[in-house]
Amino acid sequence: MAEQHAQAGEHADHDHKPHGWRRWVYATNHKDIGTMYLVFACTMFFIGGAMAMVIRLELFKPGLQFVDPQFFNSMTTMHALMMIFGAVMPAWTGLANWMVPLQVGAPDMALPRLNNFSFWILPFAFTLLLSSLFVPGGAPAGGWTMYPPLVLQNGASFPMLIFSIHLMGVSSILGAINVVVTILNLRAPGMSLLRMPLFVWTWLITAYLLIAVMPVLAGAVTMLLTDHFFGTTFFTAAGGGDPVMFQHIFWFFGHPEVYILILPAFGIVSEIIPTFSRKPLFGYEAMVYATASIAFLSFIVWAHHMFTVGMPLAAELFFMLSTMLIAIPTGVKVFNWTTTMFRGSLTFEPPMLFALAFLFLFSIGGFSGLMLAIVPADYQYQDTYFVVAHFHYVLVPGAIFGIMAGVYYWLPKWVGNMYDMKLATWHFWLSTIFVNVLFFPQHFLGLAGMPRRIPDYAVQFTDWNMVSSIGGFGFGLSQLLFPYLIWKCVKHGEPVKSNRVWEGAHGLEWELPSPAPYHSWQEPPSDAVIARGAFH
Amino acid sequence: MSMTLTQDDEAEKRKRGVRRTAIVFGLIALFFYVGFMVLIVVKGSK
Repeated sequence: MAEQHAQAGEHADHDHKPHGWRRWVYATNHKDIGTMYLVFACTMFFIGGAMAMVIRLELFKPGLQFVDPQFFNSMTTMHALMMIFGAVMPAWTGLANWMVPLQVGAPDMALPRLNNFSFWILPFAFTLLLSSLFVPGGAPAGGWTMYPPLVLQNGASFPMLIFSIHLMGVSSILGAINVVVTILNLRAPGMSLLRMPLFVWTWLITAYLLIAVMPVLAGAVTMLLTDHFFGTTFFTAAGGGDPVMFQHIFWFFGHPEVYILILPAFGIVSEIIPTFSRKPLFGYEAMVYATASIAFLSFIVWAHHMFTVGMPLAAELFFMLSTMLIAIPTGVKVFNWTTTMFRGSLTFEPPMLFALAFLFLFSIGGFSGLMLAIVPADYQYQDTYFVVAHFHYVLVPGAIFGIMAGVYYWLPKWVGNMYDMKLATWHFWLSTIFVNVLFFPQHFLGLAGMPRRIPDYAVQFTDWNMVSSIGGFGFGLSQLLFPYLIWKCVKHGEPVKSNRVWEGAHGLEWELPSPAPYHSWQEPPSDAVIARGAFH
Repeated sequence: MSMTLTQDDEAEKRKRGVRRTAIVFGLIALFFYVGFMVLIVVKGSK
């Protein structure tokens, strides 16, 4: 008996937490795996960011200064792959791992060992991809879209690219299955679907998208592989294949992928704006339906990436109009966020600042997207810097700011300490100013006709390229504040005093102590607790 | 005793649900992977 008590005491002291390297290598706890995903994503963000710095350095002045054109093309290709598959997607999976079980009242993810496997695939995938920088012929340089026949001309890096894409795909699919299974099966009794926080909803829909489209990408690159090594001619015109078919398949994956990168940010913003407006979210159900509508529409717009490739007029009209339709559910979301703030008791802590910047700057990216959807206009914009400006407005102040808003929102709950608010505010203002200095001039460059993916350009583009590069260096340097802030928060942050770190916060995660215990919701929360945390 | 049985039943039901959902979504992923390759082979052979 005494022994039992001693063991119980020991368990209480240690909270069942393994120690040393085993805690991370054999991790099955959703919080540990979430932390590993986030650290990995941050590392990839800085490696991908360093590649962006090389690009902006070379484009600071016309002429070839620092790198040869082949390496420049490798940098644009690798930067995209690192940022999309290495930084943004793992960051979302990390946030899902941390928050989904806490928000639905589940003790952990449904498939913890699969969760471990999903994460540990990633370091191998990216080591393989990055090591292609050192093989004969250099890293992949044909663009992240991997269009044949250009991609088939890659040297030794080609199979490394294909294998690493497969690994990333496997990781994403397994991660997505885990999220769906957790949400559908492990919700606490009383946590009905329409009581779930918006972050959980947006992740559920994102997971459906991942399960549907990541295998399509895997199928496409498998066919590239067999074309290259096994004599098939899926995409080789000489053998009766069709290279344009690859583009159709790639963008059938690629467009939903854009929403995979942005939908969880919609969820986070939908959590943050009500908290700092001290009002319930306006139009909760409309937000859920709008998210589902955006996800559905994302499957029927893919060919807007290919207007200049050539297609029947009816197809051009269909893809133009279906693309424009996306503005409707997106408009519903922007309207609801704005209306939530209307007559709210607003305060502007760092998560709210990032959410507001998201709202304004993502809308700019949305508007330039509408411009690109217009077929005759797209013939002018295609392959110019206007496109680069558009998708960077969507992905940097959209997805990246969404991730930062989420980290600043939940960090005190994760570690039990408050971060340096002043420094975080500095991080916000520097990021917001420099992101605009970096990307807004690229609209002008594109409209003036500067093509993308080139290491040199005509002299009339010099001034705005210099401004853009200065913005790039400023943005890159200001991001160093982010890991410093987190380290400072973990090591020396002021302990937070209450469970509900933010006065207006709602949701099950705020019912738990800060920091959230290693094992949470071992007993499901009561209906009263769920009702207290519900959005509406 | 009956309480324990109910809890066990509930846990078993959840476990079955987890397994079933994981298999269904795994099959959907597999369908999309193979389906597109079959689609292209069929289109190419016409």
